[in-house]
Amino acid sequence: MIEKLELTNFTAFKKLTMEFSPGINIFIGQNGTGKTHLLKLIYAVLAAHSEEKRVSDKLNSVFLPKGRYLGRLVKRVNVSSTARVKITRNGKMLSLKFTNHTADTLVWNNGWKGEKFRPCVYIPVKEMLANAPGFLSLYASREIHFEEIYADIIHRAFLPTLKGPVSIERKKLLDLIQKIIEGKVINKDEQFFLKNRGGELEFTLLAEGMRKLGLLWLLIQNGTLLKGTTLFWDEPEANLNPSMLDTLVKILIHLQRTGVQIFIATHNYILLKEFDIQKEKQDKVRFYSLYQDPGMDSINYVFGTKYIDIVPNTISEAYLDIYNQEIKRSLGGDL
Amino acid sequence: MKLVEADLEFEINGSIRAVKFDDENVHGLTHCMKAVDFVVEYEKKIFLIEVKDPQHPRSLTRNTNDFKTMLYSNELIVNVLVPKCRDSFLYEFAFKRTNKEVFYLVLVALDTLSAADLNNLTDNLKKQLPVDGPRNNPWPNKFISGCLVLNLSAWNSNFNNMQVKRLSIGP
Repeated sequence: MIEKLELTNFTAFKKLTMEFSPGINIFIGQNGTGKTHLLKLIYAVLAAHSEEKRVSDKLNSVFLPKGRYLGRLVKRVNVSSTARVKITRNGKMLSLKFTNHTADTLVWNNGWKGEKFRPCVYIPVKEMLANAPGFLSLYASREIHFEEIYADIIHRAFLPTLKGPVSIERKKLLDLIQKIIEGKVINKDEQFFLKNRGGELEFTLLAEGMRKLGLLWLLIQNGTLLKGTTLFWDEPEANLNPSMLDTLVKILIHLQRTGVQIFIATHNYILLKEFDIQKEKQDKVRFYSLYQDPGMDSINYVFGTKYIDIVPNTISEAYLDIYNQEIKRSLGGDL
Repeated sequence: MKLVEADLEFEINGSIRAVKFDDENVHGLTHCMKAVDFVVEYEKKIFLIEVKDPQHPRSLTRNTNDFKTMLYSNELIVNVLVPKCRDSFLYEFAFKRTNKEVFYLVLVALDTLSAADLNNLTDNLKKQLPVDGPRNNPWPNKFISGCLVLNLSAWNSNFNNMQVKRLSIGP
């Protein structure tokens, strides 16, 4: 479990210390406040460990700075400066340090040595399974300009089914998703299909929302999303009809109960509200609102366990703005 | 002048007429027609006002939850808010008192309603009243010119002449 993140001069962040919930962590904030950067950073460092790769290489391939030059992830200032990243996991801290003159090496102190790592999952905004055929081989053989999260998610989806009996919790989740997608997901020759009584339907012919649920089904079925893993999901609402969001949130809350730690970035009011409504006492959900500190050239944040408590909240402000316009328009002029 | 409904007191200023409309002594037909709580008339506008106060200190928590269920399920709009508005408009129309723009305002004194909720409720109310007549064939006679669902803070920041306060909190 990821407990804490401390940043100095990393991308948009001047100084930031954040403690996480062992359950669900939800980030909101305007474009450019670094939500995706937080998700990608923690993911890259974790995935480097489970994949036994160099952390600097993984950071480079996940963030894709120009020329794979790690120093470009240091917060841009006029003088030379140093980025520091500290991540605490299960009580043990890993720290990284690199300057804006660093190409791909970093100084570090790895308190995570000897720890066990399960594969973690990053679901990018754009759905990838439909594009799986050929993508992995292309990605492996050529320098194509795609953040590695896209190849990673396909890799995770292709992992073979977990052996052994299926736990009750897992079965419940799989049933819940199967009911909605009305079938199971299979793969043949690198291509994914939804299989049901009607036959096999190519993923490319499925609505993108269904593909997302299909992906979740695969990841739960093949045991990637199990107790002790971490799920990062950037804008789960993308391409989903709002009416599907209650089910999606139900699945995520269930996953959390089985012991998956979850990080989400979102712009969607309904998704947030669903978490607020569906969470029960035992569920650990935290909302973080990232914002540009006026005059400080840095990103700051507030957090709370209730959506309504977090201020500033640009999503609520947008609704308030519409509402005030509605009032003006509905009432017309003077009394 | 002051108008009171449940635990809420309205201070009405500059109006031509302001009445507790659903008072049988004022209305006379509440046994067969639904009625909004107040009618307030200004120089250019008439407001039909309905007040819902689920956070009334004497109302039970259970009632607040029942109320929320009704509110979100559209039941309150369809079965309560819309009939009250239509009957009240008809009543005023028959008295030839709808020669100005008529607005329907619903105050829901519930702190937890967000701007998004209020937007949504306003849209639903607008659709159910309805305000424009059939699609592509709008009524030539004006019915309700506009409607809004508001909470206490939205109400007070938009109606300087009709400020409202909770009686149990005091002045």
